Amino acid sequence: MAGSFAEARAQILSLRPATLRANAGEVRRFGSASISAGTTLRGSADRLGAQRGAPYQAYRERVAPTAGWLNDLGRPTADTGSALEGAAGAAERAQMVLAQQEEALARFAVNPSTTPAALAAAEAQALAVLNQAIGEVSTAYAGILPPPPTPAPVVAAGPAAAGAGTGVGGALGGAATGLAATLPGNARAGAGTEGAGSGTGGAVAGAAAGVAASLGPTSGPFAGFVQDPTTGNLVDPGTGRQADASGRFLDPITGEPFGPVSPFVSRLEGLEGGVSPVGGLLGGAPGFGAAGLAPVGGVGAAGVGAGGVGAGFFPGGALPFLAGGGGVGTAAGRGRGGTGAFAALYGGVVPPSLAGRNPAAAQLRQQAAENLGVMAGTAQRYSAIASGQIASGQASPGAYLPPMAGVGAAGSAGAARRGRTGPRAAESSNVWGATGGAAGHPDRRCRSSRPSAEVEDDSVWSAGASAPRSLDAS
Amino acid sequence: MAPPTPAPTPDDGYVAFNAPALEAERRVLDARPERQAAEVINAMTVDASAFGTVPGGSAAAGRVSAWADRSRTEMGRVVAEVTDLTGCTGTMRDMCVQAGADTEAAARTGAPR
Repeated sequence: MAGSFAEARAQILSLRPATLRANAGEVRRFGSASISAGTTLRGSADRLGAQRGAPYQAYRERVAPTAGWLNDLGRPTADTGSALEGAAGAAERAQMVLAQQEEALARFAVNPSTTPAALAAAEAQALAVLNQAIGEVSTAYAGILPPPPTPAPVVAAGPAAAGAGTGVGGALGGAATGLAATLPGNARAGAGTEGAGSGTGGAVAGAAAGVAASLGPTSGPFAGFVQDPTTGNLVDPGTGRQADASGRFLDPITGEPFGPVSPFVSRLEGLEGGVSPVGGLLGGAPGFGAAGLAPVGGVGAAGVGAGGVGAGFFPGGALPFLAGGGGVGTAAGRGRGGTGAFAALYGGVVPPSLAGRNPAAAQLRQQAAENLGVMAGTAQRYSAIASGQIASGQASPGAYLPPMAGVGAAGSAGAARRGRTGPRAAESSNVWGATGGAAGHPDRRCRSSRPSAEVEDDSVWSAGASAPRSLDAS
Repeated sequence: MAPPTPAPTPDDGYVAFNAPALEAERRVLDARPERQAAEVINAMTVDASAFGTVPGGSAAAGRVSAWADRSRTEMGRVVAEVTDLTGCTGTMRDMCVQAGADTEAAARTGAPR
């Protein structure tokens, strides 16, 4: 159990789940190849053993045990492969949990109302969550118990030295002699054969299975998306959009695939309950505690999350401060605009929770933008962690501050919007670009009110964002 | 391959000179059915650092590494076994061919060699 957030973070960052998964694949391939070899040898033993005569029986008696030994490798190797894959999965989940906690802490840290004490308390809570994730990895490790293979039942003494001659030794040799004895005048009994060298040399097939983290699809409509190891959903690091395994986008409020508009999510009543139905990256992402929308549960943790803190939103009640409407502090600018921005984000379809006309439309849009921002930020962090762009040597205290631009497996898309709470429903994406002369743009007026922690060089965030997050469509 | 003759029990001393069957199995062995497994396990590298500094990681890495080492050793012995079997089977095939020829000659001449 790690004693500090930095220590826990370092432990999780030291994991290389892709390598573990590659090892699991190698173990499985070894098992499959062994079974295949055993089956082949067993067939040979049976075929020749069916011939009439002691020499053939001797052949079967010699080959069958070896075939059985190879076949018997199947089960333990499959178990070992599964255990390694389980460990890899636990490691991936731990890294995702780290990304979630860091994203939440980063958002909390930049909130002007966050006090050092509150931040320390939040970090302690995050540590508990990380320790739980680490514990799951340790448990998975404990399940990796490959049984040592028994000695192979072979007659040959061992790996033959190259060029060494071996006679017709062993059982088959004896059998051959017996065969020869039955042959009238056969003078060739016991003739030696030249032993061949061990055949293990040569090219190594399947070596060095790729260990680079494959975080999501590399082609298709969701190329560049990151797969959440906890849910299997795909998340766009650039925009925070989520898609499920069937390829349907998920509503940023409800987390449900697009479908009929649910009155539950389009009306104010029914929004209470604290825990958002949005699963995925946040495992119960910030619900509707933000912006005074159904503030339930009171303060989640004493001293944590000053300013409108909702109930616990993470499993186990960790990081309740995430529900605070503060975020990075730009939420005020997000409720503007209509649903067109979201429709553009989702291929022209407005998410059901945002489609209805209701008094809470502005808050829902704001909440959707907030959720998308959190998911995007988390996906970017996870992407950076899993791809090794964040080394374990990078320790706290700045560990959970917004990382530098460019970090993220999604390339330029992943680099965008770092440190913000998400796509701005009403902002033009080129506001932050090098368009210059944007004076007079309504959004510019908001900048003066932004907390100093958010003030940044616009050019840092504008580099080549290629993800289709045309939020300015509205 | 000639159809197999039923194996008598107990051994009646009769031996079929089935060189084609022996040659067929020699070819099977010569294709080295065990080679792929040997190559996979020989290529496997267990990077202990991939298990990280999480408690239990280094122990798990050690277990996997030891298993892989042992598997390599045993697969090396299997490879040697199949190599030897291939040679022996070829020898038996040759003996059967020769024995068949000798038997035929003896039958023709009435002078067993």
